Amino acid sequence: MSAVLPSDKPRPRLDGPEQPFWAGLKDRQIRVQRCDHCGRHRFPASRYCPHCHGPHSHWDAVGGEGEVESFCIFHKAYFPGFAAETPYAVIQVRLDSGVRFFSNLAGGADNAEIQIGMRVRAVFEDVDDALTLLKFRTAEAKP
Amino acid sequence: MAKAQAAVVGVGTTAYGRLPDYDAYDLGMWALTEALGDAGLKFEDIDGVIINRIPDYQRFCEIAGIDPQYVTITPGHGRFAAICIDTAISLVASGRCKTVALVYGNNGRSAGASYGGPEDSYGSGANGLWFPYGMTSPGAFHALMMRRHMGLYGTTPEQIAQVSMTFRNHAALNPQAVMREPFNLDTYLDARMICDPLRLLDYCLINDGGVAIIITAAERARDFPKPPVYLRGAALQTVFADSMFPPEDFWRGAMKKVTDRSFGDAGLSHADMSALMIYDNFTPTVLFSLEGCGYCGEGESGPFVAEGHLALGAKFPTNTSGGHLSESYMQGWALNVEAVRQLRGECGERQVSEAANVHYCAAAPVCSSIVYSRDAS
Repeated sequence: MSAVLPSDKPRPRLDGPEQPFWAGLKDRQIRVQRCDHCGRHRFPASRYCPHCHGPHSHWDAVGGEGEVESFCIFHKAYFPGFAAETPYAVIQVRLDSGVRFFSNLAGGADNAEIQIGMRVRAVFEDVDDALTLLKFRTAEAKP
Repeated sequence: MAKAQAAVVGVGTTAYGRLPDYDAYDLGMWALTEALGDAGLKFEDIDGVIINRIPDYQRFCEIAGIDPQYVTITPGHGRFAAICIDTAISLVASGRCKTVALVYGNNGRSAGASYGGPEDSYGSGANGLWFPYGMTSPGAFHALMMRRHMGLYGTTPEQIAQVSMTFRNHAALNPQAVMREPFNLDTYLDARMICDPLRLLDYCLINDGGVAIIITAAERARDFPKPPVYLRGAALQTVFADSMFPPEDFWRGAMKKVTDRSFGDAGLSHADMSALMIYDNFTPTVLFSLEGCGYCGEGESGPFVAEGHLALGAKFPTNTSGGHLSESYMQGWALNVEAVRQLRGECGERQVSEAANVHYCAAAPVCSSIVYSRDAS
């Protein structure tokens, strides 16, 4: 029996500016904004491009491979839904497209395995019918 | 080298700790009353007011019974201490105001303020985007930076501990400090992990308290009861682009800029500094600041602090009050007051002998550097 129901954890706002991102995870894609003017990817969402200030963009799927830039291990549970999982790790990931995310390693990974610079690959973790989270698992080194 | 344009002529602080009978307005009033007394001024002498953290500027001035010409209010983020001081310098140097009062009141401890969790909006405010992953709190942001620093440069927990232990030793000499019991390395290492690699003793102390500072033009500064402390240099540099994630350079680039600009204006260099006041929301910030300001080389802050340079009596006595880690988290304000008190020779057992210049700095998405001096030039 699981002590923690997924519903005890904080949920993101699915109908906000990042709606296409969350919908994309359902489709097993990482969709982020891409500027129609300069071509740079960005996340989270903004109407204007922070790089070239252009107003037009579209949501574009990017590859799921990247690297762990850093990590930290929470011993304190700031959210009750995480209390049963402490100590749990948060990883800072940079995808090869340059887009960055905070995330976790998917199911059952040992905190001691995490290393800065290690290669990771996206995992789409279904929480329920409405929500899928972008998580990661260790991947082979870049050929 | 330019002559200083502004000076601090009054400082005031409340007690720090648990003060449940005082709200943020009361704490601001208490501090302001102290600062005006220190400066030999009356409330009606204030013609500029900059409020920080106190919820409402109109209510504060109403309580103080004052009608300044100029007023503004700033968010309760620690990076704003230097911004407010920088603005006050401009106001008095330009002649737009004669006497500016900076007033800070923080009832965070009694009001149950905390960082991390559903209400946390540290940084660029991601609207809870990372909460589903359990990512929250400024402490975690600094833990991510510290972990990377450890990976890149081999910085160790034993080195980080020196920062926290040294400031506690200083606090032991400061009657106003909230935490005054010195601790050893074992105690540091045994302290509970909050967000690995950061332990309880790497975090600042949320408390109630208030601080006020009175700034006037340098040419008027000799007309006050206490010796003036001149603002010889001040500089700000924001680092906002892509700031949802930790900066790759640990804010070194921006810290170098503000140090160069403020030291340039002051005509002073590192060796001229009698003491340092380094914004210490978390221990890693001290390491990043030492590197950014150039007190040690890139990646060398771990060994540098382990050599003991931050202790009273050493080369760069730092946070002689105990800082945010041991005196109280007054979001930069109390560190600026400590700079003034050191230069006036008011620090009792923790006094730095013949203090001539003190450097305040903060490494954050707004990097800042202020040089305080006994002499105007």
